[in-house]
Amino acid sequence: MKRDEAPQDNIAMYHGGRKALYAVADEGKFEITQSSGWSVEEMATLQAVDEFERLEREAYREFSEGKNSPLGVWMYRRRMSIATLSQCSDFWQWSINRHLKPDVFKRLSPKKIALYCDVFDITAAELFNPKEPK
Amino acid sequence: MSKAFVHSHAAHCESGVVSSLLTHAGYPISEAMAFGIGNGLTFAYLPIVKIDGMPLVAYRMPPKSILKTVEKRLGLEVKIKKYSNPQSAREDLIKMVDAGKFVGLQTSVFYLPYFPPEMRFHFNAHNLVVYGKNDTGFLISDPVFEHPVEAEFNALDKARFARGVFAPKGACYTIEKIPERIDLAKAIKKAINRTCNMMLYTPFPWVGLRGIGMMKRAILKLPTHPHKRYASLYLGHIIRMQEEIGTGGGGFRLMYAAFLSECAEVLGREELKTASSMMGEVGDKWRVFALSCSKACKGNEYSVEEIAQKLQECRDSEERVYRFLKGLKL
Repeated sequence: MKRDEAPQDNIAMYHGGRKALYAVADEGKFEITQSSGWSVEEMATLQAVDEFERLEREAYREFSEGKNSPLGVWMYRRRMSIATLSQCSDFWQWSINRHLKPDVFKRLSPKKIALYCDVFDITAAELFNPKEPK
Repeated sequence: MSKAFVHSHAAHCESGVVSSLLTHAGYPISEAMAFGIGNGLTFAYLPIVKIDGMPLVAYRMPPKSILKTVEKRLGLEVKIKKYSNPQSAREDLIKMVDAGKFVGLQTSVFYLPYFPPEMRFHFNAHNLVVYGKNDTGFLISDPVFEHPVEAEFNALDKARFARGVFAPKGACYTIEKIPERIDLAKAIKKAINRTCNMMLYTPFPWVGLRGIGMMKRAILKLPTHPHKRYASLYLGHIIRMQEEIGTGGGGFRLMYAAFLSECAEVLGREELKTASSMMGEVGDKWRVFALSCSKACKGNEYSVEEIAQKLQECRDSEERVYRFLKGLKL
């Protein structure tokens, strides 16, 4: 990649920042070049973000229909999968799977609720009543 | 070490921090050189280890390995500390900063307030340098950002004590001593040979060139996956691991090319310049591969054979570089 070939796609998620890439400068030497982003990279990142948002909306829909506990909404809102949440909370994955059921979630001890609140950095009231996603 | 801190913009967090700490400790070294002698370059494809349901694809060695390898090769003395609670970690950091030290930290990306929201994911092996503090928080030189940044005390505590894979546990490190004589040429030769051997002759099928072959076979199998969104997410995941997470482009291959051209000057071997431009072409091929993955992600018609073919080209041209480097008998 030559210096003038470094992508300058001004991608929105950099918020005006730039990233360092290595490219060939004038005398044929590789040097750090600032790039305002590459659309290919932007697409891949937004795809990952969108996937979490889609899962969050789906979890919210199921929560409002009473098929799912609010836990799922917060999990995806914090960009976690069940595996990530398990690593961050010390709950086993199968326990989290159970907690996703509304009936099981309702019966959770205050101690377990507090643990989830700590992981998501929210209050218990917020945990039980997540706001509707945008 | 109570000099003023000069922030420098780097492509990758760990090699950037190592380069910055060493430079301020009195041994100026570029990021590419730190990455090269730290044996940062590799390829690994681990289908068993899942990140949000996707296989682990890595273009570089595991976190902290650059720091530890550079320490070993240059004979440095690096002090790494971990803590059991945020309170003592913060107090200790304040003490070190007040003493005029520049401290490297391992943190999570998700809790760093200055990261753009779109780019915050649960990745626990980010590295940055704390070089000072003010009333509300720490002054931070994050190598992947263009300018110095700041983080409030509480936010940084959270980032340092994030849980999960690679949990940082407040890890911080300082360079305590640099030996009087450093044989850089010897370190370079050792590092290049080690990287070539790993890429060419690894006994593990998921590492090195064999790992690239494994990923190629997995791509060819994508159309048989039961979920139709999976293929698109999978290819997007590869692009992110290769381009988004601060690799300097082409999955660190372009940074390695920069390293090789610096080596040519240090060792006085013209052939390494050739190797450098060969590696540069490899990096470009990886970017072409990313581009073809991205077309597939967007839902256009695509053929996995074509993508796999692009990947095969990356693999073959990489092999030529390593065989060329081995042939130089450094």
